[in-house]
Amino acid sequence: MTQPFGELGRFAEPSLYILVSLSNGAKHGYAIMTDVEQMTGSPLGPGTLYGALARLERRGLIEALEPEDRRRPYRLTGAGATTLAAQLAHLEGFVRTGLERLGGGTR
Amino acid sequence: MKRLVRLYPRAWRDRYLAELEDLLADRPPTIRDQVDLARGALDAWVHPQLVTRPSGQESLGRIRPRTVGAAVLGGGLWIAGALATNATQVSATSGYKDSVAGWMLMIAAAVLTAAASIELARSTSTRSSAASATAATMLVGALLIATPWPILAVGFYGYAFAAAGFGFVVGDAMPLRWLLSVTALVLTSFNTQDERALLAIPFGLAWIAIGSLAAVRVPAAKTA
Repeated sequence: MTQPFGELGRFAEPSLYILVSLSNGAKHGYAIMTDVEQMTGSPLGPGTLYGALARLERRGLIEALEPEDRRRPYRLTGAGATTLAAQLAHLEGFVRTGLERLGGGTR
Repeated sequence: MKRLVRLYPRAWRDRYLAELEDLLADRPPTIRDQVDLARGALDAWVHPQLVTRPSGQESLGRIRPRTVGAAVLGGGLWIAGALATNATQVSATSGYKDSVAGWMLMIAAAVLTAAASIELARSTSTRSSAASATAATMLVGALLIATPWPILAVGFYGYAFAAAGFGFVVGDAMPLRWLLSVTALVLTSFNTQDERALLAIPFGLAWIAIGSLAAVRVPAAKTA
């Protein structure tokens, strides 16, 4: 994971999932958990979710909106969108290289 | 489940508790979720600066290395003193365990941890006068432990009860303050003449943990 994900330790991967989840609109905690589970097939624990949300908010990659009842939605900031795009481009290159090498090795 | 949520620091709960409770109402936690919450609580204590606090809430300022050193070394000396006292044989002449080494170690431990408490009381944003007073009482008690009986006992119990009180009044910004209070109350049952000498060990471990956690904390640079 590249900066700023590299400094997030065990929260790097959940943070990426959360940014992707928020990329199509604001969501509250439960909606993020459900969305991430649908995307990845793995549930995101509540402690991990809020640990990652706190880190992303602290870094200005997401922002909390006004609470709706007890639910507080989060949305991607401009910096968050830029960071996510850079991270996905990096991963795309990584995946492409891996698939090319794998294809070359099996010939 | 509420017990697990209470493991989080107050500042964290003030910020996220309503959301988390709402989430848990929608999605009853599995055992895996409960383990995840416990890990999250530990993380919130170790990285409290991650919480964006409303202004006016407590925070722990920059902790000096000497404060961390006093807390950790003091904790270690409490453990060493307890072990040395427990290992001492009963004197054939007096009929008592007279562990000079044990007492010397514990006097040093009490002075160091009292000094760390004074610094920690100063480091909290609220700078509670009650916390400063109990920390100062710890130091007076620690110094009195070096005097002859029965003032020694007054000093020891004064130190232990003041340490318990310090944990109660210092504020949420200090890590593991409840553990300090509980182990200090356990320390009041300390006795040099039998295995109760080992009751100083939990107190020593608490100080080592407090010093270690304070060392990894970064002062909150941003409040909103």
